[in-house]
Amino acid sequence: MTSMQRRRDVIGGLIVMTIGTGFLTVGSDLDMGSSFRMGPGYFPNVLSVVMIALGLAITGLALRCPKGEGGSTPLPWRGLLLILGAAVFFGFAVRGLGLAPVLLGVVLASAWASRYAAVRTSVSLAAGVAAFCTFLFIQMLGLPLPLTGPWLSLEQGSPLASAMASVELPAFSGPAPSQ
Amino acid sequence: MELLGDLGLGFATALSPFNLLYCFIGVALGTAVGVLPGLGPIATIAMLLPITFGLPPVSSLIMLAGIYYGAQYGGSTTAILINLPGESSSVVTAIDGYQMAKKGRAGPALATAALGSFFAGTVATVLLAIAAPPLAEVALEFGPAEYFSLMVLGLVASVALASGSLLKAFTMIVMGLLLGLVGSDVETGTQRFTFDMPEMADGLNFVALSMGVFGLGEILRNLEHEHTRSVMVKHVSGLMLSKADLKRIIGPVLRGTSLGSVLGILPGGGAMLASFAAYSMEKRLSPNRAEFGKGAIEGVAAPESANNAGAQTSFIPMLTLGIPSNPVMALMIGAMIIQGITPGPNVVTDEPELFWGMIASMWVGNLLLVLLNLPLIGLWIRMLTIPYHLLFPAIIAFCCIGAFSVNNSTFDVFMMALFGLVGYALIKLDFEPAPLLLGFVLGPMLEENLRRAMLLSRGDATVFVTQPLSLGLLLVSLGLLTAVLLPNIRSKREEAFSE
Repeated sequence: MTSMQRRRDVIGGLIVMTIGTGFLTVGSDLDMGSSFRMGPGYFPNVLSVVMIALGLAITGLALRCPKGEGGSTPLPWRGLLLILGAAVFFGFAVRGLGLAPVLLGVVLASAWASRYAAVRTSVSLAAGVAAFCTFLFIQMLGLPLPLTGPWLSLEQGSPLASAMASVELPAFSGPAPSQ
Repeated sequence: MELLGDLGLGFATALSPFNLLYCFIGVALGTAVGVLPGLGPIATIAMLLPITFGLPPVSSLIMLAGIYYGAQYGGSTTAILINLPGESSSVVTAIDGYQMAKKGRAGPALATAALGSFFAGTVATVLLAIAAPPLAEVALEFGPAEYFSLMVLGLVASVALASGSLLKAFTMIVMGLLLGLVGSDVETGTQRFTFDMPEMADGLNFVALSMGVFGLGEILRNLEHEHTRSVMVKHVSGLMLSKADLKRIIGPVLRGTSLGSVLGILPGGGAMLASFAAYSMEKRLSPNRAEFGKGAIEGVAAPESANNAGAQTSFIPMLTLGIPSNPVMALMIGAMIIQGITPGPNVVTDEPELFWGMIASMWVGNLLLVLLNLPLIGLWIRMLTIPYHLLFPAIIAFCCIGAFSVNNSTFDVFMMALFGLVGYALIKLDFEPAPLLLGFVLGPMLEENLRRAMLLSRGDATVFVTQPLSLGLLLVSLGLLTAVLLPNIRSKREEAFSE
């Protein structure tokens, strides 16, 4: 076992123990019942205890190994942030922006997680995916999502309209156009 | 004779234009998935699950099954032509297949893979038709204690036959079981681990979980070692096999098919294990063993027949017992549940059209695959070189829409993102995520049968060892577990997976 594997297993076991403890804590107010008539808490609590034991075993086995040399690989923060961020962005904005614009955003953002990303290919990829998906899911499969959402609408009272109104406000204070 | 009548019903179902179309879509997508970089059948089936909701159950399952065994064909094309296995099950095919391609024999290698797979698929389909109904009949007699023990056996076997650390595989199962229990308790209606969120009352969304762990998690992993592919063989010619070649592959195909059929039935087995085992067996038995590793046609024929046979027979426990033997089967069970079908031995009698239609469609699908793969090989070669950086953003877009569309809820999209993080963490910490999905699907069933068995025995836990069938199943689990833990088998097992 190398030093990296050792550290990985120590951390892995600790996480497993934490998850087990979490389930045990949240599940502690569930009714255990008896072994005859098991309550909703019986099986989950047994499993949580097993989980903690497994975590202990994993960490324990790793700690028994001698410490070696070696570094760790850096986490790919850019990929993690861009890809998971793209999914979260989709969740927050799909109803407001509508499917087409949100997909443009998702594809453009996630494409930059690759080291081969380039502006031109990403833009055309985003346009292609957005066009294909809106056609497939809205036209063919009838997904109840708007093509473009209320955030982009120019009707009175919508966020974009009021934003634009406030930007255009100075124009109204100017001299009235002569007739 | 009843079998012929049943198969007749099956073919009538599978050959209806509508189902034939979905069978075709399934196998074509499967081949594409096998050929395209970084996209596997698990992620694809998870992505397509939401789309199948609107389809009749038979058509949707025919299509999803086609993706799984179609991927076996596509995976071998990648293995032979660019020495990169498209699927884990074609890892060994790459050894001799690529050597053959280097010697200008890509055509015969591809033909061997396709024809061997077709033969294996035919045999496995017949086996499935013969073996499944009696097995389901036996399973109908099972009480809760037997069912509980059977599921324990399934889970233990899937751990024993999987690669990597046993301890970690068990951890993944327990975590899957726990995640499967989230939601309302079936018997009392108590909310468990839902944090009073109404979105969690029906449990964690199966689609969001599998797309997160196997879709997003996989992408994050792939991006760490991104590279471009180049195809050496641009044009493949000579797809016909010579008489000498045919003579050499008959034995390996037959042996690969029988070994694959048996290993496919075992939980945790399926296509990957079958191809590994068939290759190492052939390496020992073949009169041309000196050629192995240098382009022996047997080294393509045996594992390719075995992985297709295994892919197909792994449907047996899923269809007859409602127990998944690998993550793809877990997804199929999820698809059934979503379609309102209760998986288990009742499927054979209650849904004959679905059951026999699926079996017949596998043979039809295999035939389509041969037609699709050999004459159209040029198309797949072009697809081979689609760079991953043009592919994964589209996959992410599909996953987002898919997760949303199950319940039209953005909550599930956030769930998917969370499980994407979990999936990536699991990979980084060297936990194989496949058993998690098995546990997740089996969790509620396992608990229900445990509670029922204990209720029937008035709280006497010995019921599991006093019922002969249940005892037998538990003994087999115990035997498997000790076998894997024995030192010399253990080292053999590690050797087999590191090859």
